[in-house]
Amino acid sequence: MTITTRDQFFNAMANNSSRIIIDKVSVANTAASQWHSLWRATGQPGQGAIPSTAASCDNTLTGGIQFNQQTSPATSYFGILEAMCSQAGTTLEIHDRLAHMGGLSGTSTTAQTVNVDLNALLANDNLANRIGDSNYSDVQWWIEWYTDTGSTSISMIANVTYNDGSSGNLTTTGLLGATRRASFMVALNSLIPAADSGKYIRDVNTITNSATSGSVGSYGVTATRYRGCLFLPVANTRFTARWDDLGIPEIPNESCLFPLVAANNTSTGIVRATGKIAHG
Amino acid sequence: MPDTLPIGSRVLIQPPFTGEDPTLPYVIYDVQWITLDGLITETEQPHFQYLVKPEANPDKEPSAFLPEYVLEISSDPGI
Repeated sequence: MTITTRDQFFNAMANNSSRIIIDKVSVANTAASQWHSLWRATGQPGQGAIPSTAASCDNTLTGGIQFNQQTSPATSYFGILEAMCSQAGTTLEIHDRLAHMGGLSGTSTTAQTVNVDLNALLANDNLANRIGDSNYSDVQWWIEWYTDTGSTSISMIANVTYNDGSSGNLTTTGLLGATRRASFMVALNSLIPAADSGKYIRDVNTITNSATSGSVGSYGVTATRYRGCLFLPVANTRFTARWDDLGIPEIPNESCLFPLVAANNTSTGIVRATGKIAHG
Repeated sequence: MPDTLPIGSRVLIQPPFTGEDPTLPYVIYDVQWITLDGLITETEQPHFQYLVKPEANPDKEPSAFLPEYVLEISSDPGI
C-alpha cells in the first residue's frame, strides 16, 4: 500500500481518482435472499459476454468497470460507493471477477468439465495479486446461470481441488429449486463439508447434475473476490458507503470489477451507483 | 422397459449427492421418463429419473435424481 496517510488518501480522492458509474437495468425472475449477477444486465458497464471455456478476466472485458491503470508502486483503492435501487432491501456488492467459464448444460448427467483452476491461471492478468491471500481464502466461488435451465429441480456436485491439493465434492442437494433463472448465483464456499473445514477452493474441476432439468440452458463457474458492498434499505433513495465503511480495499491493476446483488424481491430493480477509485 | 420403484418408496440419496453420510430418507414422489441426449434408438432402453421429497418435509419441491443415485430402503405406499 503506497498511500500511507489519510491526507494522502483524501488528496488522491480529490485529485487522482477514477469515477465508477453503474447503471443497470432491472433483472427479472429473481427471489429474495438469492444472489444475482448483474454481469449480463445491460446498461453501464455494458453487458458482459457469456464465457465458454475457462479463462481469467481483466479490466478490458465488456462488463467490467473501467479505471485508470497504475504504474507500480502506485496502486488503486476503493474510496467511496453511492447507490440507489428501485427495489428496497437490496444489497449491492462489488466483486473482482477473477475467472469464469460457461456453457454447462442443464440436461447433461455426466461430469461436465469446468477447469476453472486459479492455481494454473495465477500468471495471467495479475491474478497473483488479485486473489488476495495466497491460500485462496479471499476467493468466492459461484455457479452462475446465463440462461434458464429446465423446470425439474436437480442437484449438482462440484468436484473441487482445495488449496492443499486434496479434492472433494460439494453438493447442492436440497438447495436448488426448479427453473434456475439467468443471473442466479449459488455460492460454493459455504458447501465445503465439515470434514474439509479450513480448506479453501483453488480449482473447480467438474460439475455433475443429479438428473436432467429438462432444458439445456447455460450456466458456469465464476471465481470472484469481494471488494465492497452497500445495503439499500429504501427504494430510490441514495445511500453511501464511505472510505471508512469500505475499508479502502486495494484494487489491483487489471481487476474486473462488476456488480452483483442480494435481491429482496422478484426483480433486482434498477441499480444506479457512482463512486471513486483513488490512485497513489 | 426397465423396472421402476413404486411411488411412495422410501429411499436414500447416494453419495456424492448427500455427502458421505446418506442418512436422511426421501420418498419417491414421481417418475419422469426422459431423453438424456436425444439419441435414443428403437432398441435402446428408455431412461427415467426419480422425483423425490425429503420424508421429513413432504411440502418441499421435489428434486430429480437418476436411478443410480437412489437406494431403496423400504416401501411405504401410504403417503
